[in-house]
Amino acid sequence: MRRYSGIFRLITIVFGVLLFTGTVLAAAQKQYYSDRAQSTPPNIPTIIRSPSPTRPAYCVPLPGVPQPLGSPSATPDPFGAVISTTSPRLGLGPSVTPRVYAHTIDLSPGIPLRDKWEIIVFRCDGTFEQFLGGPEVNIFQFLDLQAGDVILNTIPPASLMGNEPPEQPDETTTPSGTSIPYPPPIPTSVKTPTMLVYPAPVTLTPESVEP
Amino acid sequence: MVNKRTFISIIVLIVITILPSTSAKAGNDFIVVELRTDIPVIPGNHDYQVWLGSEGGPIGNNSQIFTNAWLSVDLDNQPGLFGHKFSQVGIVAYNDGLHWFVYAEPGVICLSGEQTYGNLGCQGEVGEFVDFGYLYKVELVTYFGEDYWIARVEDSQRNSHDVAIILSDSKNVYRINVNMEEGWNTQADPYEFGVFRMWHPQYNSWIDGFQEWPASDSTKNKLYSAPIDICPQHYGAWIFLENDPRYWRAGTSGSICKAVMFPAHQLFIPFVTE
Repeated sequence: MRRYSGIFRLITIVFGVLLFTGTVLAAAQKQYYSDRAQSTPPNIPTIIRSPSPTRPAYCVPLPGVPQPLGSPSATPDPFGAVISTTSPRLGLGPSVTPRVYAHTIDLSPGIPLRDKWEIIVFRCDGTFEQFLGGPEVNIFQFLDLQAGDVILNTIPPASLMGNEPPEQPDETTTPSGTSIPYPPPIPTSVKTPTMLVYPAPVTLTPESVEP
Repeated sequence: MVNKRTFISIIVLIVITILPSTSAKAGNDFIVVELRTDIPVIPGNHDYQVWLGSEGGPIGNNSQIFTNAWLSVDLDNQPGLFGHKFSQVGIVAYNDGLHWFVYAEPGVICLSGEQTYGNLGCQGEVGEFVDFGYLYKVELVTYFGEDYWIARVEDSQRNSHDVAIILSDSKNVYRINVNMEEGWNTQADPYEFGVFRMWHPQYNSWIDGFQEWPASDSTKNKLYSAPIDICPQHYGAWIFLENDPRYWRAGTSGSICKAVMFPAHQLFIPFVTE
């Protein structure tokens, strides 16, 4: 009887140790996945793709995807040297080789370049054409696209790029450690006592979700 | 009868009156996520990344509209034109498809794509490295001892491409954003279609690798719209995608106009795919 009791105790201890170890490991793994930086983004549910042109066989093939002039400089090993060993600028030319355009058609010669849109067309015969136009010109009307002609790039004017959004003025902050939504202020002249007694929703973080 | 001089005056008056009303205007709409930079490790480490993806871009016939999403840093804080040395890398959609782009006020050297925006930027051809329907990592980084920044775009095969050099030796960062934008110069804001996804902004600690952006506490990572009145009628956000506080969408039909991102108290159990 005593022997069976000892075996039972041993089994209980082993089982307890296993259970404890498993719990600790699971908790550690969960903490690990919670703390570490994620690096595998999810998929996006969409079927839209950029159009890929179908061109006649007699056309000059589309220019290949340009390759970087230098090899990619990966982010250094965080445990290795922090100092970058090479400078990409040293082994490179000044920039990508500019295209040679067979024609540059400026549809808005009276306005500054920084206000013009630019469209680059690759013709079936292998030539590049550059179209420039201000916002009041529908450049597409002038492209005269024939079979095998492809729009390679659409580039907005510099004046439309680089517009930084205004900073949001500082607001009254919620207490430290919380970001529970708070209701908007209620005008005192309006009697809506029931709205005041409802607690704020506690699920999500938006300060205020406008309808 | 009206004499010739009066007639000409009337014509000139009509032209002056009508021309401005028919001429194109320009503007930009934003769904902003202002990332906190108050913790010294953020502006001091000079390596930032985020994943961006597009579900679709402009669908109208007007090619002169874009919607985009980007990671940006201010490399200075001086007043005046280009005083902030605003620098961005991201993806931009026109009605011809999706492109990567870099715009940087300090000036750039393009390592790929084409020199654009009056030599302040570079842009890839349609479909180069990026396309609709995927999340792509973009990165802005400068290394110790270097006098420039690098704009980097990862393709769908996870190959890293240094696409541009930003000509700034700044080691201070004054503002960091992850934004969705519409840019237009038509007669009125067309509120063109654009939906973008943003996933996990991170900074490099250089000791333990990339870290998730610090959670909001009394200092917040803030989401808001600019101008305010574009939301929710035209653009807005969706947050907590897939139960992840660091995964959000911004663009057409989004309903959230203002939010605190990455709350400290939020429990996140990631979908482990490994």
